[in-house]
Amino acid sequence: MAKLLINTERKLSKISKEIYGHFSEHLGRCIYEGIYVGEDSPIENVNGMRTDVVEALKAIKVPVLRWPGGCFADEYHWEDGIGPKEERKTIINTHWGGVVEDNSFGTHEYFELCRQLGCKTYVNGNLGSGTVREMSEWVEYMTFKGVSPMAKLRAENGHEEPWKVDYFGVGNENWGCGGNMTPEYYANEYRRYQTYVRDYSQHSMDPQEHIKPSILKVCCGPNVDDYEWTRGVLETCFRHSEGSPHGFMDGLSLHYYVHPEGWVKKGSATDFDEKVWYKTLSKALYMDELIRRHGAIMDEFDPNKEIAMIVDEWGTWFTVEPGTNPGFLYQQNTIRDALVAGITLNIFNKHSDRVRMANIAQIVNVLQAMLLTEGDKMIKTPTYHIFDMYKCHQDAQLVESWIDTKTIGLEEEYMVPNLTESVSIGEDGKLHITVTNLSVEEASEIDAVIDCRVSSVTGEIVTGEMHEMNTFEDPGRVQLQKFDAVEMNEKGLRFVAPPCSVLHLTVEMA
Amino acid sequence: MQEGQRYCRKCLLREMDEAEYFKNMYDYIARLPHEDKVSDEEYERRLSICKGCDYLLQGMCRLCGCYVEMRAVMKVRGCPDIPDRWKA
Repeated sequence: MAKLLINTERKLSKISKEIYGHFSEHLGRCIYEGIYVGEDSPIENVNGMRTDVVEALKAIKVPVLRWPGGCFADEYHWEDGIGPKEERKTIINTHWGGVVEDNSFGTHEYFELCRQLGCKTYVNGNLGSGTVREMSEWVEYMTFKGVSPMAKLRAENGHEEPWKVDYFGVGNENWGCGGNMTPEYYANEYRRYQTYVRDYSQHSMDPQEHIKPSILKVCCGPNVDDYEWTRGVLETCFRHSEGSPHGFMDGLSLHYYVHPEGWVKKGSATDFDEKVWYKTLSKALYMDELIRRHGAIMDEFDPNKEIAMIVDEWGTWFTVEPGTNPGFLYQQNTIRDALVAGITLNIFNKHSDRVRMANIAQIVNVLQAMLLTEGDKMIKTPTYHIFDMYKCHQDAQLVESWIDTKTIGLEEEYMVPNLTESVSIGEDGKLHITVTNLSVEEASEIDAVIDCRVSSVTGEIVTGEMHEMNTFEDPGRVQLQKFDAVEMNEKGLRFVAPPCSVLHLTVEMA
Repeated sequence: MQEGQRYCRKCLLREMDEAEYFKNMYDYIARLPHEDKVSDEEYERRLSICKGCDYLLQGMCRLCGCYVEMRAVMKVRGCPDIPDRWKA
């Protein structure tokens, strides 16, 4: 019997809804085919966006969408993607698959997608191969309200009103594909570029308009355990920064992918044994250490946690599906991915005082996707169902919780706790408990002790044999199911978490 | 735990040995259970339709991202275009 202790009186931090954010890159079939099919497509669409995809994503309350990359961002020239589509420049996407990019999805289309999804915007600018002027003019094009050359151009292209840019990334992976820079060099470039990412809401002439800074700037942070990068960037950004709050940045990014067999070989998405199951999950759990250690460095510079840690690329990265273009990063998604998602989201929730946005890679057809498409068909992955389940935590209050675990696994290096959990009080006033059982074969009986009386409880679960997945031939194998095997008692709840499961209990308190 | 903190994905993709990838793909096709594969005649019929299709790019279908020699061999797979070009 495992004890789960919940102290609802101890509210720890707000779980920003942006932790449940997503990422869409011009890569493989994420944007084209996956999201955007064009107005003339036989696939049902609204202004070129697939209706089936948009509706499915609205159901999981996508809070924010990062675009256009990734590595693509540092080669993207935004002016290629505006104006009449037939006149837009056609380029070769050298990063991903070497296919033709006709720029039919550009700035206007991105904001239209976010409008349809009802989500916040996170635009990633080009520092690696673009100019300061280019970045500055893009921000002007997107956000300036009034008379200016870029606002005029936007209006000529059919959008008189400015859009809202909620987050702006100043470069991407500048330690690698974004320019192979050193931390000090990047940080100086960051300081320069971000100066010209102007917040035009400050210049509004409308006295009714809310004029607090509206664009939150994201500085390129480390890859995985590159603590030298984190320290080097922060040192340079905080040097002689008097008068500019928190080192000129509102967020510092972190990228971390789980590839069970390493970067070069990665490993199959669907063909794995129990050893690889535990190895994968232990690598997912490593996110906790990364957040703690990078967070400790951030604490030295920013003890009040004003800079958000933004994990804007995370998830599983396997060898592509056999017979598919290796540059398209198309992979299947199993119960193992559901566990990786559940474990990682529990970790983010528990660190929500510092982690205030995360963007799983990627939203459709690429890496650990929510949805897979083929022509007019679409399937929801096990990961989709976890995001559906965990949406209860969006903007909820994390409360103190602790779970009694035992160590399980098959190899000393990759042992894992059998359970993880996080608990919040949602905007609906209810208590939301999410639990993952990492064991391949052992169910876990859990005795939840809660410091208030429970008046009712409902549950939902994603579970199955570790290889189970949804396919175009069998799209409903893994689904969100009702979980009602929960017993209420004087102290709280008792329930059994099946092996390979992620579950969510909604508790009404008396 | 990790393998290299800074790397260039672009270079790694370029370094990918395409010949080995395709050899693996052909091996994979050869190992597929007989009952999962279409007949030789059907395979050739499907491939001939792909060869005449605008979505074919360097052996790959741009609609689904699959190399068509792999996709066409599998009974359960259809052509992703609308309508399905393989349907007789």
